[in-house]
Order: sequence, then C-alpha cells, then structure tokens
Amino acid sequence: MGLPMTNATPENTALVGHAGPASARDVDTVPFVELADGRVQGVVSASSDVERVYCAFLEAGSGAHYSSTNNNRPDAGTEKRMRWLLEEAVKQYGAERVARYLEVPGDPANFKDAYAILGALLRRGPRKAEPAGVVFSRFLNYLRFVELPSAGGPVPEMAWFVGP
Amino acid sequence: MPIQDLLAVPDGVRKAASLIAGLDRCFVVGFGRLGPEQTQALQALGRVCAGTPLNGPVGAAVEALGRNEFVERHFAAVAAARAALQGAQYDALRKQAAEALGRPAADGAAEADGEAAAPEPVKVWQESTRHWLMEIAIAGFGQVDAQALAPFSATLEQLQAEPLTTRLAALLTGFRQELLTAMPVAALPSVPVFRWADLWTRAMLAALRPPPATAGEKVSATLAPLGIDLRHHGYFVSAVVYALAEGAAPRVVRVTLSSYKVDVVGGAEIWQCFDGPAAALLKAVANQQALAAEDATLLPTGDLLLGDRAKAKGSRPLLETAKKSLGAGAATPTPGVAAPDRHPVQLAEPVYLEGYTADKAGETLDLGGASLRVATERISSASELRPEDVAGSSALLGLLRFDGGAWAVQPLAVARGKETQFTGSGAGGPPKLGKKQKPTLAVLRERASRLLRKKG
Repeated sequence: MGLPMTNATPENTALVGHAGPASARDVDTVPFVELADGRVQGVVSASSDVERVYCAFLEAGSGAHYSSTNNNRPDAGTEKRMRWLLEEAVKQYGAERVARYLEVPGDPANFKDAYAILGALLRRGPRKAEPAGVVFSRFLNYLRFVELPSAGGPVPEMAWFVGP
Repeated sequence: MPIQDLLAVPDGVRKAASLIAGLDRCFVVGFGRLGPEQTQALQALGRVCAGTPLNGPVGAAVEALGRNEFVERHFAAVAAARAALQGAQYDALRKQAAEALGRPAADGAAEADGEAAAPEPVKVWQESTRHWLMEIAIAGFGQVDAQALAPFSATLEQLQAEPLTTRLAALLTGFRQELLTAMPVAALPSVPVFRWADLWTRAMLAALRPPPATAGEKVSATLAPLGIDLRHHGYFVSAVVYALAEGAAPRVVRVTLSSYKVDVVGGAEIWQCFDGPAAALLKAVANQQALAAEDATLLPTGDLLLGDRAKAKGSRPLLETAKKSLGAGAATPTPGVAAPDRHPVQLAEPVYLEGYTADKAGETLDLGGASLRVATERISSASELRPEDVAGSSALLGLLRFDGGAWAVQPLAVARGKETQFTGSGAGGPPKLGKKQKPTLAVLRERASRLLRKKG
C-alpha cells in the first residue's frame, strides 16, 4: 500500500471539474447557438417582430460575420444580433472557450465577456453574405435530438459525463 | 467504518496507473509520430501483458505500431490492454472498499453480460467508428482538427437513430462534442489526456463487440429509493436511481433512466426528459415514496429494468432507508458492473455516513481523524443538491468514488436539520415557470416554425 496520489490534475482524472450551473440561457432571444464549422453560429430573434428570426454567424480568426432572414435578406440590426449571439454563446460555453474557439488575438483567459470578444474580433471582420439555410438546417438537425429513441438499461459510458 | 483503510492505495493500482499514464502520452503525441519515450511506454504495455491472453495481439501491436504500420486490429489490442489494466484496478479497489466497509467481498469474476446479435448495418457503423477512432489516435489529441472530426457525422447520426447502439452513440456524441468545442487543442490550458484516452478506449471496445443484451430474471419488487446519480452531456441524460429492493433478501438495485436531449435543456427542466415508468420512479424519489414495480427485469449486475407497470405506495424517507440498509454493520448486496465495463470510474459503492464534520465549503469530511474528499465534480449542475448543502449536514447518503488516485464520496442526499436535500427533489413534476416563461422546448419549436414559414 502506498500513499494516495494527491496530485490529481485535469490531465490524470476521468472527470474534470466543471464551473457549476451555467447562467440561464435566454432561448427566447437566441434559441440556438453553437461552436461549429470554425464559427459561432446560431438563430437569433428580432426584437420588434415576434414572427421574425435571423440566422447569424461569426467566423473564427477572420471575424467575418453575417446575419440574415431565412429568405437571405440582410439584417439591418446585424451589430445587435451579433452581440446577442455572442452573449448567449458566452453563457453557454464560457468566455474563455468562446474566445479560444474564435481564435481571438491574445490569451483567451483574458476575455471576460462577449463585449471583449466582439471588440477584438468583429470590427476587423468583413460582412460575408452566406445562405441562412446552412445555420437553419443545423438548428433543425439539433432539434432532432429530442425525438430520438433510446434503449432502456444501464449506460455505464455515461459515468464519464457529469454536466455541465 | 474504518475509513483510514481507504487512505492508502493498493500498490498494483498505482503501478497500473503509471503504465496507463505512459501509454496515454502516445494518444497525445499521436501514434503517427511516436518518440523514444512513447515507444518505451508501448513496450512496457507489451511486457505487462506477457503470460495473459492479450500477449499475442498486444505484442504484435507494439511491434507494428513501432514501424508505423497502422491497422485497426492493433488499435483494438491497445484498447483491450488499457481496459484490462483498468479492470484489474477496479477489482482491487472494489475489494478494498468492501473490506473498509465491512461488506461481503463482491463476487470474484464479474459475470459477463450476454450479447445481442448485431444487424448488418450496425456492423458497418461500428467499423466506421473504429476507423474514425484510429484516425484520431494516429493524429494524436494534440493535433486533431475539426476537419478530421467532421466526416464522422453521418455515421454518428445512424448510431443515434438505432436504439440497439444507444450506449455507443451516447458516448460518441459526448466525446465528439467535447473534442469539437476544445478546438484548437493547442490553445487549451490543459489537455484532459486520461479522460480522452478513456473515452477513446471505451468507444473502441463498444465498437468491437455486439451490443450488450439486457437479459435477466423477471421480478416484481417494492423499491425504496435511496438517491439519484445524475449524468449528462449536452445531448444525452441518464438518471441512475439507487433503490433498496425490499423483501426477504433485500438488495440495492440500480435503475438507469435515459433520454436524448438538447444542450439548453438543463437545470430543473432536465427531469422533463423522462416519461412513462421512468417518470413514475422519479416522482417516487422526489416524494420519498416506495414504488411497486411489476414485470421488472433484474440483470446479473444488480441493474433493474422497469416494466410497464409501476405504482407509488407508502412513504419511505431516503435517509431512513439508507441508514437501515447501508449503515454500519449492514451487509446488503450492492450492484456491480459487467466484466467488460470494469473501470475505476464505475466504482459507486453506496454508503451512509453520519457523525462527521464537514468543512465550510462542503469539500471535505472529517470522519474522526481521517478525511474524505467530497467528489464535488460529480455533482451535476442540474442537481438540487449543492456542495454548500454538505457543509451544514449531519448525515449523508453517497457513492464511494475513485478518481485521480484517491477515494472520495459523491453525495446524493444529505440531512440538514429536519430537511433532506437531494438530487431529484424537483423531479416530481414540471418546474414552476414565471408568467411570461414557456418551457424551453416549446420556445425552440416555435422559433423553428417561424423559420420554416418562409417569412421575412
């Protein structure tokens, strides 16, 4: 018998500590946000018209971004939409992870909120018109999860997953 | 309970941990670019397998990988060897826990579970999974990029849609998502090497064998709930309910309730992912009531599958049941895992503790001279129980856990004065919403419908 290995680190443990409850996401404003395809992308509601919804993205590295309706009409409130998208991305994934994913210049740990990330990235980035369908189909594919059937019985593999 | 007995870790467990740590560097660097240190670690793995049934395949794998010969069976051999070491650790640690708790030693060889025949498409998806895993291992966790992960989506969607492969799909969904959001890995403050090698290994094993069958004996039992171990990643949730199956020969059983979900469904809403008999059981836990379960299936591991009929009956306070069945001197049999699943992370011996002093943060218990860490990393963000609740508690029901080379206890329910604070206390019904608030899923569906309507 030996002493316990007291130097438990994220490198040598099966579970890595999480930050505790994430702050509540505002799904009314941003029903969907993800880090995928080298972008933060998602679906963002209009502030005035309850029937209007935009698809928006911000590209890692370049800061290229766009927001448009499902008919690919450009969004007059793109700046606002990008801010909401990033605010919700930060709520869901944490500022450090979003900054790292977006390859914002500087130490990702120094970025504390969506404003800091946007300030460092969005201004240098051009508008880049792309069909809204790309993001929209990601959203529909995402919603598919709630309809998937699952088998009963033990799922020992889930012992590795505790949140966040 | 002589908790001091848990302070030292068996030597064999430490030696195996050091072998695994060496091997895991290969996964970080990538099998495509092994250096002298990684080659030595592989050779050490080969030596430890000498005289076992793994000798041949692992020996061949070590040689082949050393000369950059990348064939799937060699990666399968590495996965099997890594899992075998962890299986041995599990056995040694479970024995140590049984002795410390004064419980009967668990059955020697854990029974292997049966296997269901895999339909042809499943075999194809499994092959595609193994190939994907091999690509990741060759590139190495430190180098893997989004382009390498993306092509696997089509296979993963097939696995998700097939209930036979729920276990593999739940694992791969979480693993892939974790890798994707960790991009670029080079900028990560620290790479969770051991964890990712674990997930890789378990995925490889699950992609090698037919889906496990869930065959057992039909039973009807009255279940007195003990607590819930809540596990989830963004797209899948399992509520593992521990309960005492009452009767002439009482035993602790484990009921796993699972569902796919989307990542924004969390917090109090997480319990809304379950329906049918699962919801009935969760309600019984929330109300601290017994559940009469008919036509249930008891697996050799102590896992119970609910039938279609389950009815709440009579009050059963969680901590009273825990004290009676798990307190000092109790010898109630507890669940284990099937042989292929043995890994220290699966150690979850239910324990009832009282007479301890918790520190102010609820992170350590002083049990009369010996201290036991509280496994706060095991408490889900969606759990009603917070680490702070442990601080002012007088008794607790928890699961004895082992990770990072030491034992810890994961609390499921704690006594605070006359109140019991526990995971699942809010599982009895939908969470209370504000006047303008709608359930998350309803909002998502409504927003999607706006996009579908081609307005704008």
